[in-house]
Amino acid sequence: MPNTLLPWLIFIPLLAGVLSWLSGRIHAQAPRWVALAGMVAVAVIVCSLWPAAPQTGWWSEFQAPWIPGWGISFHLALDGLSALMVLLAALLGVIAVLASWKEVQSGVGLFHLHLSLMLAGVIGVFLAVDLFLFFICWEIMLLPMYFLITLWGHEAQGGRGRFHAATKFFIYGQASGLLMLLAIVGLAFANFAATRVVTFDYEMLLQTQLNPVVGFVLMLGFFIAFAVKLPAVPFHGWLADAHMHAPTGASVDITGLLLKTSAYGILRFCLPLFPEASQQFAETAMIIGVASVIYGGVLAFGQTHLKRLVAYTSISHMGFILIGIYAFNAVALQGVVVMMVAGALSTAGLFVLCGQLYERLGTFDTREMGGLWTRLPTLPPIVLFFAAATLGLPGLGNFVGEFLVLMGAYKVAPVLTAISTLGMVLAAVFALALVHRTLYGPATSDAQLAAPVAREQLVLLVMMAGLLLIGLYPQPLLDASAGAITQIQQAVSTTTANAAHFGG
Amino acid sequence: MTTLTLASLTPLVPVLVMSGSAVLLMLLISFVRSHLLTLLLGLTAVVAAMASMSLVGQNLPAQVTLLIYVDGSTHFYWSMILLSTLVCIGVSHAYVRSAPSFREEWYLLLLVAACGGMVLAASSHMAALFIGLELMSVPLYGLAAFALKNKRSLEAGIKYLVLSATASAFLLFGIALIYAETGSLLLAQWASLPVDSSLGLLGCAMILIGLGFKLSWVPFHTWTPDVYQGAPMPVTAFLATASKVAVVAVLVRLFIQVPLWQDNALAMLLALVGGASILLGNLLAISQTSLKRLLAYSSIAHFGYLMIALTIVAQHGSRSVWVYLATYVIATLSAFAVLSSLTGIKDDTQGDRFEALRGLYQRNPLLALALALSLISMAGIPLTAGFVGKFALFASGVASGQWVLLLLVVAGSAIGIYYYLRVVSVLFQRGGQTLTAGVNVPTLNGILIAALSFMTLAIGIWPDFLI
Repeated sequence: MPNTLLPWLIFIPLLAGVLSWLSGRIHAQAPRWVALAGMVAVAVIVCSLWPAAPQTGWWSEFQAPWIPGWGISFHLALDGLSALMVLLAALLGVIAVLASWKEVQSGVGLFHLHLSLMLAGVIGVFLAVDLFLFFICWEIMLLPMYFLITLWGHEAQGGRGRFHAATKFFIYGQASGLLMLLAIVGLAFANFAATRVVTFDYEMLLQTQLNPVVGFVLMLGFFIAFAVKLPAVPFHGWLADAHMHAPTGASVDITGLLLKTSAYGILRFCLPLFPEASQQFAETAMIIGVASVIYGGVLAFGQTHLKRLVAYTSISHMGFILIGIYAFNAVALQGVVVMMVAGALSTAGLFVLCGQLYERLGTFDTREMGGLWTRLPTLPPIVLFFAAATLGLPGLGNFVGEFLVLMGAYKVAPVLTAISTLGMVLAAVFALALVHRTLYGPATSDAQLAAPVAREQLVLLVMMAGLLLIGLYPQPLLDASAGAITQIQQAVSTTTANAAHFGG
Repeated sequence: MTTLTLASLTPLVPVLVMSGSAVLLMLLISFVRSHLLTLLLGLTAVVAAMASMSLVGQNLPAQVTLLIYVDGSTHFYWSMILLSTLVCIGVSHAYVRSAPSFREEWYLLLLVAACGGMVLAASSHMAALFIGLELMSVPLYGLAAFALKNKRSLEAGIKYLVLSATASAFLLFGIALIYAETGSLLLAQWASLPVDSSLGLLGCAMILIGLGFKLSWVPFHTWTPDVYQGAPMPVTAFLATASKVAVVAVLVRLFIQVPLWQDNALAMLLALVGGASILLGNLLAISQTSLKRLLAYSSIAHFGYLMIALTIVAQHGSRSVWVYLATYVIATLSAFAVLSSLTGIKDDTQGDRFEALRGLYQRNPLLALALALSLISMAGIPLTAGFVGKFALFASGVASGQWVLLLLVVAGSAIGIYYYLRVVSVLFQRGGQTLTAGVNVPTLNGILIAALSFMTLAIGIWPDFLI
């Protein structure tokens, strides 16, 4: 297959972004269509690679020299895991554009430039197999998001302003990112010390033999960066504020894409690069995961701001993902992949609904919402649907993911897994509370609200279809990622065997 | 003893071009006072000096008399100094147009200062070092106080004069101490300085104070915000770039040539100074409302970062220093070129507040984008030059195991994000002030800003030619 397709996955959104920025001068609506076209093109390219996919190894690879002086190349590769993620990115990009159709009316061109740039960064993260390139893409995601929040965000009551929220988001990202950069440079240097070759290439660095202490410290550098973006509990401070102030399109992409890049990062980099250190760290990471599950659930229940509520539910979801990743077995890892996709869809769906409710009510405050079932056609059952998906109702995508994760994790850490099932109960509590507070109870006013237009329905229907499909027939998803997951799992477990061997 | 021949002066041609032009400019002023003509002569001088560098680049390294030593690294520092001078002169035309008098002398002083910087960067003898330093500093006193009607400008000039003189005194004392120990003013002879020499250590510390003042390292930084704020915009640009490049050049030479700098106590001192600069510079930048003061504090932090690469030049080479310096100079010049385009010498304090920049994107998108790019580059965001510089620092820091300083850089960068992006987001916010500044940008400024922005992006995306 033509390898040159891969760079286009990054360049198309870049190009679409610039074009949509420029096209804003021709017609006010043009930027939306251009950005949409770019994201659809990405999806088409990924799908075109699907049929010819091999069972193991890279589906497609592209390498071009970039900074030979530092041993850095523009090295992209796609396997089942990254293909799924890129497809998800394109889909959520489309949804973000559609969800912002009415909300964003000023600086339309610039908005879509930022949205597309961020998407390019996210796709770059999913494709990069050169650590330097990976880091660049990782950081590039932050800046457009910062502008999306500061320039198009909401000024929420009770918050400290969108500038504050956006800056918090950026500082968390930048500080943790630089720690990761230190770890990347440290790893490259360790490799250089052993082989006298300067390289940042993933596959070459995989061979690096690290002394255990160095390996553990470097692994922590990576892990902290990913845990901040995940976000896992001690590092979650930025998420709720960012969501509270972000425009809908940005919220969709934060939760659906930015958070998933971190789970992807742990899977792709943290585990295979530092298998021994990851083994040592597994229990701590799982405890962090359990803490996130419980803490996110409890906090979600207490929120009165609709978007903060949804934000905390995603912390809870990401806790499950962390547990699944550090269980190190194929079942749990497959569950993680399903949860990443399904969780992205269900949470993004809730954020889109938040946006649609806001357009009608002018508030995110759940205390002013009750009784919507009687006032609003069509949307309430959809809210119910997404709430059910979030709480992990069987038949919908999240259930499959959570089930696989818990099943896999139980074999490894039964006690922690048992505690984390409390999170499932909490999920039911907060999801039902969400439904109860918004849809039922006495209506705050009798005025009827506008029915959703076709565009709004379409966005939601696509995500609902996706959740149902994953819930009822997850096999294609599992098949696509199986090859990549097996490789990651083997990388970790072979070291266990080795460690046992050396230990004996 | 070598006799001085004309041929042996060839490596010095760029300096000679600059000093010759300065003399020519002085003569021109005494006959014809023409703002445009002086500008053109100034620009030609700098361009000619740059061109002559590539012509005389073959027979390097070369020792020219006892005083000057020119090698490849000298050429790098020279080109940085000349680039800074070019930009400072280029943006000056529109800037000093509104000055009541002495507009032409402005260019003369800039040329002389650049000349001093070049001598300083190439000095291999303490006499040359001191002459170069003073030749660079004395015109800057005048330039800083150039807006005679402006109290802040006068304050800046006097403050810089007094504190510079103090720093020079320290420098001289240090040189004298080491002279007492080695009996020579030649840098090459200082290599023989015994490692346990307490006089030598004291001398090194004194020299560090004298030179550290120019780099505004903590605790010698107190002049920086006031002088940056008071001095006219292009002068601040020169202070922030050319004058610092020249001092770094001479420090690198000292660090490489004099093994005594590797002494543990001195190394500890340098690390302390660097760490304090990073922390204090970044923390104090947070609360600034004047962009010039913000850039002053951020430059303190930047030279704190540079310490990582600077202290290890003897073992690891000065490549990282160059990369970092180049990226810093380009971003800083770009920021100051934009700011110079927004104001004139008469209303300098106006364009300096954040509020004046609000909504600049609506008034002049390109100017706003250029300023945003330069600030983002200073913050070290990938795909801009600043990130390449930071990466080079990280590489040398990891290679030499300076973990504490590296973690401080991480913390400092996180704080930096806050204050740089605050300015950037102000640029894009709607609802600008009544200020009309920034609607019309002079062509020359526009070209320079475009070139600098291009360099920022080019280095950021394709850094290979730099490293």
